[in-house]
Amino acid sequence: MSSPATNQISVKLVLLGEAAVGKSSLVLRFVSNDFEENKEPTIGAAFLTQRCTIGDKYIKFEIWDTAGQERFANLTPLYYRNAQAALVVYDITKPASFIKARHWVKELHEQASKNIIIALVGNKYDLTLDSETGEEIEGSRKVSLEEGQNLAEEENLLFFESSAKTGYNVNEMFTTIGEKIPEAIAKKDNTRDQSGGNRIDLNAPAENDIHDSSCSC
Amino acid sequence: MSIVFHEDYIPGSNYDDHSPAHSVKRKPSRVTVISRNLVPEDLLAKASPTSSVNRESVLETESSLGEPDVVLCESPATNVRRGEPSSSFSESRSGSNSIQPDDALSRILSPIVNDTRPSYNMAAPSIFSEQLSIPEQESFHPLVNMGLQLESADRSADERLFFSRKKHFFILSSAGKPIYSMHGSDDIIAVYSGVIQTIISLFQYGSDGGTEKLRSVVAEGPNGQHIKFLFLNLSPILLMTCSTLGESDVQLGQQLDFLYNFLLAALSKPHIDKVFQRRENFDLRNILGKTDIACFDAICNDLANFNNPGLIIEGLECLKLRSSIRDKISGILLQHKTENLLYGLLVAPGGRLVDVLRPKGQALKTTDLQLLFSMIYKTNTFKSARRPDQNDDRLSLTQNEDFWVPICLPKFNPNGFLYAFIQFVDLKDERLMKLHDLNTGILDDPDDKVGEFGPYQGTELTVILISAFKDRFYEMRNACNRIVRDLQLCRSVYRELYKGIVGTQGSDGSTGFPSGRVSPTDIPAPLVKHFVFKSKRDGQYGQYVYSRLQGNREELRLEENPQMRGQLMMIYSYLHSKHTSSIGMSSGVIREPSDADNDSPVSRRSYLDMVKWKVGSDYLTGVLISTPACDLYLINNGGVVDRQMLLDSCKKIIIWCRENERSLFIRSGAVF
Repeated sequence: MSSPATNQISVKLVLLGEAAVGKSSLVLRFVSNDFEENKEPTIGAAFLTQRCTIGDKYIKFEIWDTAGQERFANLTPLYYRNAQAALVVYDITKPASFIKARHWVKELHEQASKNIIIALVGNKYDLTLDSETGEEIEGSRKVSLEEGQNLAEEENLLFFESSAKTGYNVNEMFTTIGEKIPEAIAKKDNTRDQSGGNRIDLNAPAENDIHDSSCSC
Repeated sequence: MSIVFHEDYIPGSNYDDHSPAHSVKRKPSRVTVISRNLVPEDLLAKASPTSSVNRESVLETESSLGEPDVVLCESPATNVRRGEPSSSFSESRSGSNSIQPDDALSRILSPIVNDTRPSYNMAAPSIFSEQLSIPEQESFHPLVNMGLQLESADRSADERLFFSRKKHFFILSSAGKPIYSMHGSDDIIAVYSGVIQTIISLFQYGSDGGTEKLRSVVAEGPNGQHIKFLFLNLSPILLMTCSTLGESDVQLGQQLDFLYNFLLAALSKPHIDKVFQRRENFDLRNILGKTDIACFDAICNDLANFNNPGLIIEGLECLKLRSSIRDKISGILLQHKTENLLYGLLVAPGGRLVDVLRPKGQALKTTDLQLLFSMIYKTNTFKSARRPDQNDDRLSLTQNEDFWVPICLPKFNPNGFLYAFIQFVDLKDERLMKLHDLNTGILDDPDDKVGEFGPYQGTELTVILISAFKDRFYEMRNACNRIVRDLQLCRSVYRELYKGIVGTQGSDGSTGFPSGRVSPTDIPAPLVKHFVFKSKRDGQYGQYVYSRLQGNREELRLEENPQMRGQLMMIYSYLHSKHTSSIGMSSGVIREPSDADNDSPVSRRSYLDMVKWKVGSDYLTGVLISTPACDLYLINNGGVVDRQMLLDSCKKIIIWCRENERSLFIRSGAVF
């Protein structure tokens, strides 16, 4: 596997959202096409990479999967500060998680890079469907499609409802972000937060994964 | 109920005759004097169970008896005390000061102590009656069944189940709000948290205005077994454990201290203080997450099942590795050390240290590493399904993911967080195995091969790089990737790590047991089933060797079996508890495990204890030899014991471990 570094675009993407909405599961589905029923909560943050080809572009997603738990919240600015994309995730069966998502969107608009692409993601779509008939189970959904769409429109966000369990819309959200990214990258340097530039190393070129470099031996 | 003055004693040898090496000296007894009127008279009333209370007053003084050192060979324990017993106590012939049990106390304790319902059965493992007779058919192969029942944390609302537990841990706030309990539903623990808080404050605010600290209560259960309650008041946090497992006060104190330190590791001291300053009855569970509770559960399970040797031996296990290889690894670590890297750790599965990168003069503390390893290896936080496509529900450490975890290392600094970069690297990597000419047959049928080594322990090397700065993730990641690349590409290093962790290589293409652990047959030490050798000489940590079992392949498969391991460690824990009982309690301060060993009076003396159990028709002998330089725990398994031969084996092990200490232990690590 030769490194397509010449036209490879690195996209720093951060996942935000309340605990147990399925952030890690979305990443697991995207990176490993896999699902774990009782996924353990994330502690601190996990960093993953995934390469993919979207159209004629090689994109390397550098993904920050943050812990939803409140006590790690003071670390999250670290992860979104120089991110080019963010997935703000909520659970469509948990209204409180939608309120939390609003907070995250607000914080991103205030604190993150101006050109950050934000996708609002209503996860756990599978829970609203009857596994046999495929019809919607009445009362299972607590956040309506319209509520999500409205917030997305107001705040100028991408919007998806998804299921990490079935894979519904997971690749789509990453692909859509990948498609939109080049414009953002081109403008990125103008808006970069200079004051933090000395200390924050988030834009340092990340080395190739050891898993890739080791194959050259 | 009787109140017993706090004192030190060394239980007499239970062995039939006295070994020549058995020259344990009794240290001058320290007696803590209980100030008068601490137990109001009106509290003294009827209560059925016999219980004794060890307490210390804040005002009390320690005094040395000034007795000449007595060579301890008499048994049972001699009770020596000094001080003026307060008028509330009448001294009994047996040497313990007995008082009439106090009504209030017994009423408070009654649900626990006085419960006479037939269902109430605090199961005590039979190890502590040393002449036990268990029907032979129950023999646990390959070691005799010592009656250890595994027990794990639960949230059951069943009170009978709750009371039948052999061990409990409670963490609560000074206001009596529950924070964590090993067993029981929220409803149950809300009640008992209140009870515990009341008991502690009953002693804390005496009726005469004096204060004292309640340390421990021993109650006799309905089946005659002892239930020990130990309290630790670290306001705003209170902790209590009760146990039927026979640990000493020192051991139980260390267990509570470990739990408390995990709380600090998760939240840090200032954070805890702040929330309670703001609101005294704050519910700390609001800021503890699922991962934290899972880790408390894991720690408590290990303590209840004797399943974490490091917490019993008070040390860290190291991977056996040729010293020249360890030196090379140190070289690699030093070469890639970056500016903001504070500590670097390479760790083999199960939390066995491979090498340490550290600043000069600043070793990490044993407890801090044990906390970190409990988090990584004992919980599922860093694990994922191993082979999701094959319905294999076993979990292994997650690869292809890097973790960035804020953690407070309380013994390093309880007031701040450090940031740990964690990456897991599987050594069973086909490309590298081919590159370095290792047998790849193991890859074809991993399940069968795994079976050879007993339950899956993992083949991942863990790299932990710790920085004081939260924004240094990429710096740590780059350093880690360079370190891993060098470890993988250096032929001798990779091959030795592989042999130590995954398996040795036979000339016929077979893969054998990993070489990272010593077997008694390597030495050779006849009659020895299993041993643990702890070196106290090599500075920073108490490092220990945990041997393989001596036995056939069949037996070796049980090596990682929790029941098997628990039985071994239960015996060592018992020997250790007798030893620590001889240390006694330093006034109110929990001894820092291992780190303070060099100064404690007991470590300056040599100690030998041999305990023989009869199980069915079988005999089993446990030995503990403690010298200023090392501790040796050993188990012999077999009918007739030649004592001289066993002692010769002990000697051989000690000499062998000393001769091989450069490959068994990390001497200084990579120091910058």
